[in-house]
Amino acid sequence: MTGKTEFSRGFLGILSAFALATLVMVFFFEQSNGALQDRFKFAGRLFSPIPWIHAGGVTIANGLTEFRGGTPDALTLTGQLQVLFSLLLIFVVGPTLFFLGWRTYRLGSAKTFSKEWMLMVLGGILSFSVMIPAIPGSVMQRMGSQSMYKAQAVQTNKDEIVSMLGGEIQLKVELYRILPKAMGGGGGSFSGFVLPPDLARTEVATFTAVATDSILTIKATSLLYPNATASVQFQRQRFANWEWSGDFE
Amino acid sequence: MIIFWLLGGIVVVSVAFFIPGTSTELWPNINAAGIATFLYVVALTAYAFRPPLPQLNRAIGWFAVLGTSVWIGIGWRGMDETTHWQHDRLLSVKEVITRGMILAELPAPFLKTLEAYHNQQEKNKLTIGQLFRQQFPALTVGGNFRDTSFTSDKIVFSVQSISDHDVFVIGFGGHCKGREAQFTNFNGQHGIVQLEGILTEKGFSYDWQN
Repeated sequence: MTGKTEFSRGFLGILSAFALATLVMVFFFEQSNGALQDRFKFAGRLFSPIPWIHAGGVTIANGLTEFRGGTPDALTLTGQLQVLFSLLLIFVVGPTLFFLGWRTYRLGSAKTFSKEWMLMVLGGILSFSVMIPAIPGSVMQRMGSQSMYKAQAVQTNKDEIVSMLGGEIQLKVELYRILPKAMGGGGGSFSGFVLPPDLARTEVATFTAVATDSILTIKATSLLYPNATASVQFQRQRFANWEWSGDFE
Repeated sequence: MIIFWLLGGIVVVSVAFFIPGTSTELWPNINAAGIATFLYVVALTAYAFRPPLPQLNRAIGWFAVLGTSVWIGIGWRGMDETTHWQHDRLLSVKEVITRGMILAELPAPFLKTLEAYHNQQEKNKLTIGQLFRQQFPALTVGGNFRDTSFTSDKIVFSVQSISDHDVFVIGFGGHCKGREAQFTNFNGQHGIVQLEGILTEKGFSYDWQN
């Protein structure tokens, strides 16, 4: 077995150096609190380090624009070229220089510090600077998404319950208090209020009411997260004493 | 040879990138380019790791390329799914907020009217319409009686008719899209959240029209 039939020690050293240099660069870039980022601002207009994160940013920005009532603009050619340039640099130029340069070097037709060797190093830096962070980035992205989906599911359920309490239920309660007893109301009191069946159990929660003359307490128990409850007191035309428990806390 | 591979890769990926055309999103472009890139890298790997390189070198090369591609693919697709989910969540939250604001704010003046109506003495009793007009003396039919200090808040409460026995109102969701894009709103716009409410002496009832 000769040095040319396996990954040589020198080559493995170069690979390790690429990986280490990339991690050090990423570390210092992250720790620079914006100083380095500012210096690279110009480069940033030309280069988007991880294109799929850039595309995700555009999607979120569109969502925020629509949230504010605007209409997202079609992407400019400059914006598209910025991402295309990154894709080409990272996934075409980098691997091509690295693989073909390495092959030439490995088969012995190029020496250290030759033109081919330099291209291989350049290609390696381009490729590794994205490939290395991409792997832990993918893992973290998956974990982050799962955590966000769960947190959002709980928050959505909570929002739906708040919306029910502050909307339909509050209206029923107020109408009951205002209407005279002869018309099925409480004649100025909450006493005797009973939630109609369609509001006592909805798709998101069950609601129970406990009424006195001047205060009505409604408790909601989530159907999706049974340990999660919300309760609120209605007084004349206002809410008081919101309380949350379980997953809603 | 490097220059041919570079030119070939740049042309293939660039063409794939621009095939989907221009839209408000980058995903169609980078997904098309991503597929082309993957095929290019596979072809490049097959070329770069061909004999006479030893078997072990080739195996490790393929393993590294495919392994990295899988991880990048996971991160790429994950970002695509997550950001679209977040986009959709933003819009559904906006709809929940808009409906919540309409339902929390709109009934208040009508409940006040209703309470005043039922608390009157039988002698010289005013009608529902008269009591409502007392609250908004300058309001004309079709006018907006919602007061907001935020210029971006476009929710409108428009009174459609006032009679002795009832008051009709429309709650219009400004720029929040409702369930049906084809729905024609009271002001001629299309697809916006809209509630129709009616106040009578028996109470205030409503219906989400969109």
